[in-house]
Amino acid sequence: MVFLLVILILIDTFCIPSFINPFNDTVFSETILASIRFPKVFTALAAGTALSASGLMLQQLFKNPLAGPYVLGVSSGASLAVGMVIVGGASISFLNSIYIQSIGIALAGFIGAFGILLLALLVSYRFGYSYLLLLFGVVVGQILGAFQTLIDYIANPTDLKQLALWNMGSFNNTIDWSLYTLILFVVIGIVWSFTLMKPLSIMILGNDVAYTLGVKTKQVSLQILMCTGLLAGVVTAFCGPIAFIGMAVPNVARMLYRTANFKKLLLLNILIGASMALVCDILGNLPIFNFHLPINVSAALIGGPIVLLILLKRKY
Amino acid sequence: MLKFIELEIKRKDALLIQNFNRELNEGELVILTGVNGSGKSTLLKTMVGLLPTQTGDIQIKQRSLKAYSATERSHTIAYVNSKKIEESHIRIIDLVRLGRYPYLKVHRETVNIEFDISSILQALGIEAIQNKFLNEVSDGEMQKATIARALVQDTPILVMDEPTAFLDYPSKKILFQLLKTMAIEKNKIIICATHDVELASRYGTQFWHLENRVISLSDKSMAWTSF
Repeated sequence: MVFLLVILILIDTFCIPSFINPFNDTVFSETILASIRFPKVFTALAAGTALSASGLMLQQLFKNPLAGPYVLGVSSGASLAVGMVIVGGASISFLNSIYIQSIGIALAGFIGAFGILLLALLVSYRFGYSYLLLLFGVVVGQILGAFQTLIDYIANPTDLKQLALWNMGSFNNTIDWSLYTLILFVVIGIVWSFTLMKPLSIMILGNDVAYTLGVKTKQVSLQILMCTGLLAGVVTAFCGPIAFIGMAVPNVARMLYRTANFKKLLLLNILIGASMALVCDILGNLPIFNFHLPINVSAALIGGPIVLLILLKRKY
Repeated sequence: MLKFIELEIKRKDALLIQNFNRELNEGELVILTGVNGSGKSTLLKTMVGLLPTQTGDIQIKQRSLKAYSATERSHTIAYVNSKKIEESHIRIIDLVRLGRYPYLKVHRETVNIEFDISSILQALGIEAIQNKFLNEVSDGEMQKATIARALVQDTPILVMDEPTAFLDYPSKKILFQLLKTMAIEKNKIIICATHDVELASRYGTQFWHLENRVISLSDKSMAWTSF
């Protein structure tokens, strides 16, 4: 798996969307590598890692294989906030600089994602961590989606296109500061998630029994919600809402490796998630075609059939 | 060793158990009976610390249960309920091993532990299926695994809430015999709520019957003539 990941990193860095000879170090090729290819590859790795890790944690927490960061409504919150910035911000003249707008979009995505997460945390005190919280997330997502549609409706064509592109997801929008922020938050989130794996594996037994084994179940559940919010929120802010990886990868990982050692499971899950993100980027930008697919399109088009295949071929 | 002092148990606002005083010593297998909704499960959950004691107190070794830390509690009381486990990607043996979690050092995994698990698996008759995944075994076999998990926790007190719900008749007999042996030979206190009154009456050392907010002590014959 590690080997596969390295190969994918090399392919995505040097061959997608066009071949660059790493040994022929002209200024041109160096600039391309440093300012476009490396940021793209690191962004894809960070996004794949973060989304698959948060998906795994939520699926285990809710004991529901369909759970993922997006079911909690995190992406709807981010989309709506970004929509308001793009459509509303354009009318304020000093926000028109591209640089300021990219900060504004990331900030809006972040605030939107965390606003919804905060709401989910408040509601979790009332509902506990049952399917009701997921249902709450889905309904909130629908309501926010209606507002989103309203914004789309009143937006002018240029803003609408920008909004639509953001919603399709991309690994190419990170520049130096945003890339560092993304990587910093993802590293923190991943380290955090590893510390939650052992108590999470005990919670297989049900929260009551886990509590009698000394697991502070409420505290662990709260931490999982916060950690997944951090990971999914930051990725959504910088790459747009990418739904597929967070839901599909943990299922694939568990089918391939059935274990009670959740640290190893998380590691495998992360490797698969990062590889999946790279594969989507590679196949969506093949040099032989003259077009580039947005990440949500290639993720569903390519990831979907892979997941279906594994689903149909499993032996139990 | 285990002492209930003027314990009062409520569910929402309904009073379920009133002024309960009793002391238990090692080597007892207590069979707890009572109709559905009488408050057996609520009492057991209070006993293991899942629900707070509002009025009265539960003391273990002269110390209030409230004063126990999570780790101390997990070394003292094990708990089994009859809820099914919603997970299919784990083997029986790994499930049982989770019972050793309270004794793990931070960096260790439950997969690599030294404890005599095989004799417990053997006693419950699930040694042959220990490498099967949870979705490949029956409800009864899964229940045996969860009981084994609690025995592996190796605590002086074991609280069981209808552990026999999914078991066949021979397995029930084997389980009650095993519980009695463990209580007497290993000096444990085992408290087991069950509806298998007739069978349990042959193995228990004490019988508690919960009715009209009072837990009455009865001898063997009483335990099932009251039904």
